[in-house]
Amino acid sequence: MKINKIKIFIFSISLIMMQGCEEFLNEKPQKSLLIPDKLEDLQALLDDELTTMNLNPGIQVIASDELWISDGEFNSLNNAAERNAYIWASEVYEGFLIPDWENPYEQIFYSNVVLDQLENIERNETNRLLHDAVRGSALFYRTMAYTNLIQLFAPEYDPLNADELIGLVIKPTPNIEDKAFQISLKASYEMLIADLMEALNLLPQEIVYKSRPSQPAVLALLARLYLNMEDFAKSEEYALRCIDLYNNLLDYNDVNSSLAIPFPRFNDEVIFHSSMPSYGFYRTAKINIELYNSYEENDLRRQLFFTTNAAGERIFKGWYTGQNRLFGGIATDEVYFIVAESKVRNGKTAEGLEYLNNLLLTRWKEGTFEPTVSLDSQEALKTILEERRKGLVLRGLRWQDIRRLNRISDQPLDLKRIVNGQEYMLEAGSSRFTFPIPDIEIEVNNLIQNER
Amino acid sequence: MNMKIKLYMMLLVAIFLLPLHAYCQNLQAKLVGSVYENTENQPLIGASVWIVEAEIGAITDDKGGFELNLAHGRYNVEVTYLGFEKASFDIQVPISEPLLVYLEGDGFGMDEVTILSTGYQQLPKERATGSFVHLDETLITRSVGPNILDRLADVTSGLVFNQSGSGSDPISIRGRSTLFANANPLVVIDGFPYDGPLENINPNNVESITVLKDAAAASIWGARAGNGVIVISMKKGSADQPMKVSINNNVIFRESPDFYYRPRMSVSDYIDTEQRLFDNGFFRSREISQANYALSPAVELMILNRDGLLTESGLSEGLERLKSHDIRDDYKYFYRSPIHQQHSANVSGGGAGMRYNLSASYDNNLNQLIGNSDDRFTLGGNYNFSMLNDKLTIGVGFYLTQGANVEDAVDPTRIRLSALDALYPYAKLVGEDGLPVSLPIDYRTSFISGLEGTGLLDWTYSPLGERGLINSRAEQSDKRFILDAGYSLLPGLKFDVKYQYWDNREERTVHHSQDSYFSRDLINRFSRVLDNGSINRPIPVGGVYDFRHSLASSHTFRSQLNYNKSWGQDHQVVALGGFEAKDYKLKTLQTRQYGYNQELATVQPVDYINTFPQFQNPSTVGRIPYIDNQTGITDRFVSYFFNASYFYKDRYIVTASARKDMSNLYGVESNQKGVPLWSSGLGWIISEESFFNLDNLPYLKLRTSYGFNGNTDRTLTALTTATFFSSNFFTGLPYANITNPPNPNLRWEKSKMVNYGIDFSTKDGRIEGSIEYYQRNGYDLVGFAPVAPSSGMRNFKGNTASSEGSGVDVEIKTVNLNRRVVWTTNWLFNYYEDKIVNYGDEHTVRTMLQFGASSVYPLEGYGMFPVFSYQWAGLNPDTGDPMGYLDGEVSQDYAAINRETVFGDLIFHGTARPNVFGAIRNNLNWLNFSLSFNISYRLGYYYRRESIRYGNNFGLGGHGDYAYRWLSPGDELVTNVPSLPSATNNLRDDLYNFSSALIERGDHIRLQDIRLSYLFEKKSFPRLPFQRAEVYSYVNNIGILWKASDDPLDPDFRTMKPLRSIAFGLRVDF
Repeated sequence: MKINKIKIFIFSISLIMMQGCEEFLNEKPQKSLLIPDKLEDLQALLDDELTTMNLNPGIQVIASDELWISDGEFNSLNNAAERNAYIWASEVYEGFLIPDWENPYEQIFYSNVVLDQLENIERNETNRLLHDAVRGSALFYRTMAYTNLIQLFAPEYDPLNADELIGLVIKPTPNIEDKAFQISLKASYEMLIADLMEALNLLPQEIVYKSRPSQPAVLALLARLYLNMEDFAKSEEYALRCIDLYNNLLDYNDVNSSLAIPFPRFNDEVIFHSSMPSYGFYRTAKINIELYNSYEENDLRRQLFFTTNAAGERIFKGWYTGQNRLFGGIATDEVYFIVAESKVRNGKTAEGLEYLNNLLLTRWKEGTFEPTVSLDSQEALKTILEERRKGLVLRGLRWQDIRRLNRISDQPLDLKRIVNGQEYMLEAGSSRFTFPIPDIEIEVNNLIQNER
Repeated sequence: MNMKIKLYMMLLVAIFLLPLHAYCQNLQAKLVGSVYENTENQPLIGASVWIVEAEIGAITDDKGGFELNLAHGRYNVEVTYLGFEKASFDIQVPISEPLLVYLEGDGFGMDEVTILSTGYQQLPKERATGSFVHLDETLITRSVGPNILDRLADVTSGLVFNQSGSGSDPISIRGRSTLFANANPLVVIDGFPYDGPLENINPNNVESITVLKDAAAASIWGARAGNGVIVISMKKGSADQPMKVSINNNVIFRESPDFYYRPRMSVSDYIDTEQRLFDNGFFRSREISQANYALSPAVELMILNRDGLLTESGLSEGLERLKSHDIRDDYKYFYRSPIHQQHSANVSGGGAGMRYNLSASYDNNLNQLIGNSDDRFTLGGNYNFSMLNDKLTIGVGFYLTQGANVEDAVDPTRIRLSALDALYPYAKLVGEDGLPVSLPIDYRTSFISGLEGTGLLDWTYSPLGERGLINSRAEQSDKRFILDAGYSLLPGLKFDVKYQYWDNREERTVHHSQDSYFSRDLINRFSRVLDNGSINRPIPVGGVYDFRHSLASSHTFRSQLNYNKSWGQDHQVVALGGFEAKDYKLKTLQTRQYGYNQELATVQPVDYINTFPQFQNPSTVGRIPYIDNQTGITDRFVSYFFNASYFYKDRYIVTASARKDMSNLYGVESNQKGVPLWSSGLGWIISEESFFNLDNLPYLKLRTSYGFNGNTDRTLTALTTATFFSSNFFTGLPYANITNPPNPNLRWEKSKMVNYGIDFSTKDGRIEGSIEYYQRNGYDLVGFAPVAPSSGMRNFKGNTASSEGSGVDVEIKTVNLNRRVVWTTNWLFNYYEDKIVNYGDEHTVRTMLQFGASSVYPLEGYGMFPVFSYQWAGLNPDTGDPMGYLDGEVSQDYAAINRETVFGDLIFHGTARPNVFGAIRNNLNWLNFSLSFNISYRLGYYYRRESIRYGNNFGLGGHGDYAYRWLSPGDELVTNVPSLPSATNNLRDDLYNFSSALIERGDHIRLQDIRLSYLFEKKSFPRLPFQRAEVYSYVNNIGILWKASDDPLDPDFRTMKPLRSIAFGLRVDF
């Protein structure tokens, strides 16, 4: 009798305990949690446009010569980094982190996670296109992030001693605990170009989503990198190949200047979309009046790029983002400027001017544009660079242009400001054209700080 | 077959199979019975029943019952229980009725039986080796209030209410055991962890509370016990007790908030500062902004004056007029003294083999904001019966709570200017006659008045007129059903199954009526006036209706085997073991509807996809707010547990306990690595030894325990996870965000505790109590590892940290006077100190100064909440600039002080949470009057006083210390408040605000509460229609008796003083 009872008891207990525990505990704790192990999931990580993947630095806009703010506005800036960048102080961040450093590395982390996970997904006939596109995209996003970093946190490229200069802080793996390290400037550029070359073969030719990379985006980025490296033959070559694939320009005659935001997001000229952080500085910043005055009456950019605030000061509205955020991506007009400049520097002045004229034709009121012809190469270059400044205003490219042109120009540019009665100056060639690396990075990874 | 269905099946099998055994008749005769305490008819748990001739015995179970198999014959029975006279009598077996044994107290002061509950078993305090605190019904009902946990304050040894910090851990038991994981104690109700909000538990239905403090007490709860466990037992009936009806009613009046308590910059200084800022062009960007930001009336006057539209004298007259009003004087139109009412009734009783309890209560609360109120109705009952000769016991219980919350109020303290700043302090919220007036809060008056005739909706805001225009209603229902079946397999061996279903539903609707500012503003912002004068409205005219629904539910199943056995008269074993599974689900749904028409209950569609230019700022575009979403959470636990006690000669106790938990939180792999959490304990009742013959110390027990508890951080998982979003606004593509980087080594946090305790009682119980010393070590604590942003993550969490702590808990009761006046005192003394011994991440000096005392920023070698400061060198006598130290020299180089100060240069004051705390509770009884007052103390801690921070706006609207700032040489002798800076200098503000000048000692003693009551008893007033009635009054938050600092504010209440309350109540037992 007793034995029976105990048998039944043991049976009942084992019924519950033996089976199904693992299955019971395998339930996902949160519905929206996803373990990214499929190609579609990896693509979704790269498609996090708004908060991660399509952002680029903006602090260089504060430090450049395109915008200014009044003393009162300067004093009411909350963020120390904005104030310090504006006056080119040696100490910039005062211990705080800045999105200009963090965002690119977050993109690099995402790209590394994707590249790492891709190793576990077999490429076969059915998934070939998506597999390639995901890999190519991850390589592109990573290179785009490093390109943005190299223009702020590494010195300007010098073909003669680039292997002696410290370049990028790189993080090749997704493992959080692996340390980041520095490589030479030459090695940095070589790495970026190699990654882009690989991406070029993997990505589609067509631009379907402006937030995703494509072959034209890779080619344009290669052209931008070679321009920085002063390899004008290559910059011409890749810029032309880009235009071969995608040459759409907006005709500014078709854009409504009475709109508060005249250019839509993902407009026809955009090759790869990216936007800058919304720094408080931009809210009140006004356009450099000298720059504004350089746009002539019939130049449509005068109305499309600028408007007047209540105090009658000129402020910017020519965002290519469809909202009041600065555009920092790649657009066709930049590629035209690269072709024009490279051709002139390569001795093909007339051809270079032709590209400039084709572009400017779309920026002037119909029937008023007079093409620039028959200049000597020096004047042609000067015109192209002036037009580049006007055409690519507030795209985040000006800082890099000052850096690279100061190196090769015979008329280097010093930057000057007067704030609260004190004069600040950033001389051409100053080491303060390179932003410092955040202190925590130096401490944790044992890096060498940029000189300021 | 999924696990849940399996659980139900098992339950059915258990219920259907067990009665079959009833047919298996036993050849021997069975002796069943119960042991009770003589006076209160309370069952005695763990009493020893010894059959002398047969040399077998039993230990009574948690209902006082026992069961033995005996051959027919005559036996002598001895029943013993510590603190009671031994009972010895003869019986003849077989016996027809259950045997009822009543024991008499032995008069040494130990005749109060304290029964502790761990949630898995009930045990008498004398048999425990762990650290427990028991609160009986008298203590629970001593204070008055709607919340059950508040009743633990200042009466529970080792438990402290944290006044400083983020509010995520309102209660700590023996300090904080974790850095970032859940820091709240586990709350168990009637044997099951409670998942719902504690507001749903009516204190009037609670019979007792047991707090489990050390590993031996709590490790049966394993991975959820790391922060201690609070076990709540609801009221139950007693067998063989006539029906008892009792009612309890009370009403609490609380004072209304005092908005002048926290010093703010005066209105006059505010307007002067606005003038100074205006002259510097501070408001210019806002004035010329296209967003039409609202400006304060003073700034508007200054603009008129600047533009030549207002004369100098007109300006100063206007400003003087504004200076004459303080917004806080208008708050009385929005706030009131809250009133809380509680009514409850309870019926309990029992007959042969059954007992029951039924309770109902109603609470109503008029909130301090006029227009807000809530009420709560609870109904609970349980019924227990036994059948088949007491072999099978079945219990059912249910608890229902229905709560409703109404929010129609406008909170004037939350009105903001252009959503950017606090409202200017001279705002007139109410007209002279107490009628509503409107004021600009988002847009400039000129902008709004310029819209007349456009056909846009009225765009003005009137705080008083808004009341009732936004109706928020929440209804909450909470249900618990408990089924409990026990079957005696053999004498001493009992199989129990328990099942609980819990569900909690909440439905909140917020109707922003068409007339509310919220709706009008939203509709207008999206409106566009077309060239023909008509208005295009992407958001249709009508109300905005928000709806939020949440449904949480859990099934918990437990099967447990209990074993009680005696060998000879000296050896006893009480053991239990079992298995438990839990499935918890939470679903929420949120949605919003536009164009709501309340009368017709119609809504209208809107375009969520396209962007629309914003009327008030045409340079920006916006999307119509889309707040619909759904979430789903599933928590699953499977646990095995075991607990055993061995008693030798009623004076030596050995206990052991173990538990293994597995969950779906960390992934299967991590679970497999999990080690079982365990504990063990030893107890020795020295006073029972023959060599111990101190007549004045009739009870002395030593005990010690050692073991581990666990804790979980549910924000982490071992796998790389991402959160998925259905579509990006611009591209329409689905996208995902990485939320957790891979961390395959993740595991439970572990907390080791060693406890040493002495329990004692002197003759007649004149002095009794316990003294405990404990050490606590935290291992595998989840902490942030140092990570550079180049890793791509802003932070990284892992099992990286460890901590150590130790403390003393003393709880003593003295009977000071025992004549006509009975005067007793309860003394509580607690000491606790902790230290982080291993933490990889380093925080900057500035981070520790700013956040170290309030949030968890672990720093190796220091306690959990260290208070640091810059050494203060006073104010510069010439300029009033704050001065600190740099390399030991007085310095005003704020940038260098900020950059170069290291921790060694800072002053370390101590901890922000009290090291020493406790209470002294005096109780006086005279005739039928009782008076009890509780004096609490908190010592050995520091806090940082708030002061003025000039920021980028000369401290506009900041702290009231502005009035004491340095103005001219000589002021530095009487003030530490720096002079007004000429330009923004945050580092100068930092030096002063983080300096030692603002650090104060928090030590204080306060008279927490007084309770006065009068008891009517039938024996003194025979004509009363009831047995007894108690009339009581309770006053709470009376005031501070002493504090170390001169700071006029309460050290624990920095922004609002603790509001006094007085309650009146009546309790009647029929």
